[in-house]
Parts: sequence; C-alpha cells; structure tokens
Amino acid sequence: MNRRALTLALPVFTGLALIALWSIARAWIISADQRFLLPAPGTIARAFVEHAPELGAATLATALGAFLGFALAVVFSVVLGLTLSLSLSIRASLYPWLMALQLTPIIVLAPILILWVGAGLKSVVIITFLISFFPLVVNTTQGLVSADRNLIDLFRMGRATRLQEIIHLRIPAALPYFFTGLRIAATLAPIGAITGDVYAGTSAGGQGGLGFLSVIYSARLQIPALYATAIVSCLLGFVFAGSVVWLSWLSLRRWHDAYQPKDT
Amino acid sequence: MPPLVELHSVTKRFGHDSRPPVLDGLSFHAERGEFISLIGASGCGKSTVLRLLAGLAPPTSGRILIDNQPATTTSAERAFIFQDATLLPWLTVQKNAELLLKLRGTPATRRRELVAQLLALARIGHLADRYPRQLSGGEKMRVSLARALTLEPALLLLDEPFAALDELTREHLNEELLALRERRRWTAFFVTHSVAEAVFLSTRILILSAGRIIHDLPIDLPFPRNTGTREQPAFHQRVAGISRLLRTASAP
Repeated sequence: MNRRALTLALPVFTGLALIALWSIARAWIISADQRFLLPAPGTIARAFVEHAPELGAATLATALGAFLGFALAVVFSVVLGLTLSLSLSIRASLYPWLMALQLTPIIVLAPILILWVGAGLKSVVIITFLISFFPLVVNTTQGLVSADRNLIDLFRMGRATRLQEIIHLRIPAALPYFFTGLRIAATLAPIGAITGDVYAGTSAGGQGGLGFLSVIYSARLQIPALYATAIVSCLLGFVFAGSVVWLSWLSLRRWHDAYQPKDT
Repeated sequence: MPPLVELHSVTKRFGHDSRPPVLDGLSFHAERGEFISLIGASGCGKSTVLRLLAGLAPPTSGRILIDNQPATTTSAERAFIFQDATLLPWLTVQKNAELLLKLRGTPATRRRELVAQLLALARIGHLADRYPRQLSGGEKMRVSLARALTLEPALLLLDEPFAALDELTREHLNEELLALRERRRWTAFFVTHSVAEAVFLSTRILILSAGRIIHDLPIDLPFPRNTGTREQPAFHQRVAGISRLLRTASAP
C-alpha cells in the first residue's frame, strides 16, 4: 500500500475500531438501564435520516453565523494586526485590553450582547467574532513584526518606503503566521456560532441553529438526535478547518517549507 | 579625485559608555576600484564597519564620507550582500533579482531586460523561474550577487557572503566575483574569516583587532586571478604571512 493510500486508510480503520469499541461498551460495560445514554451507531444513523430536514436547516443557519463572524474576524484582525505592527507603543496600549476581552468568558458576555443587539443572527455573528478574532490578531501581528532582520536591512538598502516594506516584505512574510491563526480561528468559529445559538436562541430569521437544536433535543431527551447534532457540528468544523487548510496550501505550497515533500 | 571612502576617527559604541567601543577611532581611505578585505577575530568590528559604510547604522563619533558626501543614510550607490542570501522565499529568482529595481520604480520591461543580463552573467539564467528553496547555497548567493549589481553600485559591501558554502563552491564564486568585477569596476569591502579568500580577492587587506586597524597590507598579486593564482608560491607566502600576523594579533 502506498503512503497516500495508507494516510487515507488509517483514519477509516481507527474509526471502525472506535465503532467496535462503542458497540462493545454498549453490550458489555454499560448497564441496560443506562444504555439510552449511548445509542447504537445504527440508531444514530436512523436519527440522521429522521431529522434530516431540521438538521440541514440548522446546519445552514449555524454555518451562516459562523461564516459571517469568521469573515468579520479576518477583516478586523488584518486591519488591527497592521495597526499593532506599526509601533511598540500601539501594541503596549492595546494588547492588554485585547487580552482582557479574550479572557472574559463568552458565556458571561453573551447575555450582555443579547441585551444590546437582541437574539438572532446578529448576536451569533458577534459571539463567533469574539471567540475567533484573538488568535488571528496575535498571529497576524506576530508575523508582521517578525520579518527577518537582514531582509529589513535589504529593503533599507533599497531605500524602500514604509508602504513598500509592508506590501513586499511584511505581509508576505506574515502569511504563514496568518494561516496558523486562521486555522485556529476556523476551528473556533463553528464552536462560537453554536455557543451563540445556545444563548441567542433562534438565529437567521427564526430557524434555530445547531446549538439551539441541541438544547431542544436535550430538553426532549431525544438522545440519538442529540448525537446526530454533535456529529453534524463536528462535520461543520471539518468543513471550516479543511477550507482554511486548502486555502493555506494554495497560498504557500510553492515556497513554504511546510508544504515541501519530506524525506521520511 | 578624492578617495571614494573616507573614515575619520570613527568610533562606534553599543550600549553603555562604560563598555569598550566596537570601533575605536578608525581612520582609513579607500580609492576607487580597490577591493579591500577586512579580517580579524570575531567581534573585532569588521561587520560594524560594513554596516556603517552602508548607512544602516550611524557612528557614535567621527565622520564617514563616501564620494565626498556624509554617509548618513543608505544609498542606491551602495549595495550590501549579507552572509545568508536574503532572498524572499515567496518570489522566483527573476523576481528576487528584480526587487531593488522594483523598489526604485524601474519599469517592468527594463527590469526584466537588466536582470536577464545579470542572471546570465552570474550563470543562473536557466534558474529564473525557480524559487529559492529549489536552489543550492551557491546558486542562492549568485542570485544575491546579481540582485546587488542591478543598481550598478559604486560600492559593494559583502559580509562573509560565502562563509556557509563548501570550499569548492566558494573558490568558484571567488573567481566569478572577480570576473564580474572586471566588467564593472566597483569598489568592494569584503568581510571574511578566510585569509586565503582575502588574499585571492583583494588589492588590500585590513587586519582589525579590538576595533582598530592594526595592519594595512597591499596585495600585489597580478590580475586576472584564477585557479592558477592559488598554486603560486607568492600566493602561499602571503597567506602564511597574514595568518602569522593574525595569530599574533589574536594572541592573549
């Protein structure tokens, strides 16, 4: 089996092994009266089919909130990163406050936000933004200020303007850092949107997102549907993270060491 | 005609006044067309001289004149070649070599034309579409050299450019550097730890110790120099003599 086929096959084998373990746990470890907490894989599959229309609509609603919050975080982080990279004084003035915002738990902020902008898509987008912007700002700023000292001297020798230095040196040099932040933010964005759904109730014009759906299924003790929601949420996370990995590959594959073939 | 480079009692300190200066009242002149190597133990101030000449750092005291003008900032008349090739990894060889011209606002057609000539001269014309990661150490240095020459500098400052290369590549590049210099007679300051390299390339060698010039030695081996030069007794005598001076200077 070649390397690529093995890379694809291994997670499938691991997945099958986990399902087998799951079934063994259900059959041998968990007592009969507790088995409803761990439904059989087949039962979860049936719940998928049964709840497909509402799961689909909820996924779209959450994806919209996650995408808008994520996009807002990207735009904001690039602008703020560029601003922060301009001087140490600006960084010293703003970093502690950004850190304070990041360290304030979102579950405390969510009710305040809902009071400000109301329940629904707006709140979900803001909560997603708040959860995902920080790693992006930190990584983008770090990338912008970390350009190689000799390359900066080279630009000085070429009598480059500050704008030329930013466009031709600092921004391309920051791309690997930016994509690292983007990957973290992409995994956080769906989590932010789902958290937002839980707190902000219905989103996207009356249709609840995945977070809202999980609250409903939990209240109704629809356990297989709850598992199905968790799996769909996970898949949504994969779509976000996968898209960023692909975008990162597309942008860096020609020149960055991380994308070059390895010897071993 | 005045000398191209004049240093008058140049002192450079980093940090507190209580620490000894990196350069301590350095004075010398360099005529147009000279190839001057700076050698000496690590920390003796060789690279600092180059940074001051480049205008990348100001002297603490003293005066530096280049072409009779104070060297207070960088200038297109001076080019710097660093120890690593300082290529932008996201640009192809062609685009890397065009960089300084682009920053200067040279039109794209003119840039391509000039760079094509220089890459051919540096024997890397066939690598124009490659990225730096696809090049060997020697090829990277050739790109760096071609890029430095795009602005046709009067003064070329080279800070141990071949230090990381194997001996054979280093010798090839030494010969190619001299061949390029035959075409465009820039003045060069070359920092190296290799006495043989300094003797092969230079018209003059300055030995530095603790921020001062302790020996100023003309190298009168005839040009053009090539592999044969390294086999001549005169070459070996100079290498041995300068190595002796260097050992004496470094002795505690």
